[in-house]
Amino acid sequence: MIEKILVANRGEIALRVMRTCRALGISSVAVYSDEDKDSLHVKRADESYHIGEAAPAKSYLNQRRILDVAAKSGADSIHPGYGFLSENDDFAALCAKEGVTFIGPTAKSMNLCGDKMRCKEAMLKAGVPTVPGSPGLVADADEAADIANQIKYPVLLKSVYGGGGRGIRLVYNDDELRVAFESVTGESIAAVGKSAILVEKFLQKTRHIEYQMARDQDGHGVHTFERECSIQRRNQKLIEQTPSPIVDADTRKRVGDLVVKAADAVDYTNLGTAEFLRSDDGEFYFIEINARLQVEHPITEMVTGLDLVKLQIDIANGEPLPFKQSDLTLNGYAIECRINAEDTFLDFAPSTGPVDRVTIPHGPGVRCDTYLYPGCTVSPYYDSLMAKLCTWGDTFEQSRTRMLAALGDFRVSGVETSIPLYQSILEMSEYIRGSLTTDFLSRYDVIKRHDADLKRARASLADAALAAAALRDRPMASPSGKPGWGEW
Amino acid sequence: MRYTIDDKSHTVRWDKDDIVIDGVVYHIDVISQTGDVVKFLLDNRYHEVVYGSRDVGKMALEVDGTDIDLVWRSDLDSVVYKNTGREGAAAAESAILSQIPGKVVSVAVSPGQDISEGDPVCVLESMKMQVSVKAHADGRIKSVRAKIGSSVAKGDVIADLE
Repeated sequence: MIEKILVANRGEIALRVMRTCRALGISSVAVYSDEDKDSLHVKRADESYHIGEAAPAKSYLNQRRILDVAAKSGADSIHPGYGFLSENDDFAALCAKEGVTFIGPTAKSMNLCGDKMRCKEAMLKAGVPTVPGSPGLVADADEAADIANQIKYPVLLKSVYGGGGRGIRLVYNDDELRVAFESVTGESIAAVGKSAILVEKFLQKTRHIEYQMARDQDGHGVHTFERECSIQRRNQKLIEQTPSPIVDADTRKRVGDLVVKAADAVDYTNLGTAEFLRSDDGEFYFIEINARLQVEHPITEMVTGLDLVKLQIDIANGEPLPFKQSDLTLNGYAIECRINAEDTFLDFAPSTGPVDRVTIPHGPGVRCDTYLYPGCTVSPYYDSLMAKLCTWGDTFEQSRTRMLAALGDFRVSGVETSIPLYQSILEMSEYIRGSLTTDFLSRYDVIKRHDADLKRARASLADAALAAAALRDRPMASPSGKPGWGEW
Repeated sequence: MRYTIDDKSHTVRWDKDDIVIDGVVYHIDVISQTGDVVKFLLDNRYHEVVYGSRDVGKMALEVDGTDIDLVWRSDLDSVVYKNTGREGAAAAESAILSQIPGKVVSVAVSPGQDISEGDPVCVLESMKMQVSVKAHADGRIKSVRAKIGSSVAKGDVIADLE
């Protein structure tokens, strides 16, 4: 029985897991790097332990250090969140060996999901369609180029150890492929210390649609419906929604049945996500299983009423799923915007630094998972996700207008954010009518249109800007009669 | 005072305690003015403005969360600007600057090397992404300031061009 969970992560996901721990009366243990000593997850946990330097390899990826903290604190289990050690089967195996419950799939199943080639074989055997590509790892850039020419460009170079959009590049010709081969190798070695690369056909005008799945230790599996995550940049998701505007009830069931089969095929336990590409002709191709809790899980929680972290803990405790597929219903619509610290106009380059002022949106149907607080710092050592803003509505239109209102209320000083970009996207007619593709940003010239939107926004605020300038040049007495600052 | 926002010219002046913007009179109630933040009602509508960096002839503001640059380069300012040599420097852009903060992973150029616009100069790592810094113009590398393993801030010089 799980009574004390070490959360081997940081940022909003560590806080998310701790919130459920608290609700269930389970103790939580935080770990933190030098860089995170003033971070919110350290303050919210029941106990917090320092585990090393800022660089992930020296802290959040340090398996020995984390397991030592588990032993020292008496934690009986580890929740890995997403990223870091969440899909590291060596770590899951080490936890099992040391008698600590790893809240996630077994090391064996995780290893199979992480091995994209063997996973693909298992799917083909189970009758789940997959995307054309190299039959195995490619030895070097020459072999990658040969295969790319066979299956025809464009192709994706994918690191077996990538994920979350890292270690993956889209290339259109041999020259680009050779450059990308180097950088994918470099990123993969920097992140996990090793590299192995596959080549896969890049399907055009596709949608990214994924299914949340859950399977208990007795092998009973369900899906908890799809999420459409087509709006991306550099293969990283920006905006997700459920249900998908393109998936009707029949398709939902047909692909959902495939998802349960996919979970069976790799003997999956706990929560995971089966990712698909949907081509323009309506075909679904399995891409991979993410053997962890996803960033975008809150929108599934909003439309199902489930607490997915609680479900993870229950499954890890060996409990059977408390429902059958037929018990689950999809209630309403939900959208998530990933609020990143990045500069839209600098090719989404990271923006870091101290955040003096923050205003978090609230209201009916609004949920914001975030590590931000006034006075916190956005670190260059970790990824750019600062907050996940989610809204729910009875109708898609209600979830969309609630999101627009919430985005308008969201203020983060000191760093560039993706908030203004999302305000533009949510007002686009293509978005409203559900015309989504993974190349949405380039297809609809979104950045340029966003620039024009900002220009209009600045024009509408010109009066306030000019008034502020006048105030600075001639500070006036404040209403209370006290002189304003800088008056001379 | 005359300002431009996105190349559109505006005028603003005080008339006793009212503000006149482009000839229209606005009533202003200042709620607070502390540090770099001013909060006020302009014709009964609330605004919060953060004063950012102030350069010659330019003021960066954040108005209700939106970044706005006010430019007021008067004829006199232009003369001053020119005399400080900043205009010339800005035009020639003799240095390659980092547009993001990050750690230097590799450097692709060395002094004396000729480079063309778009050539990679170095690779930075930030937030687990590797981003390559490219030359903004043709030229010859005079000196390389970025060192492998060191950190650079946004705006730091990566390399000087001749």
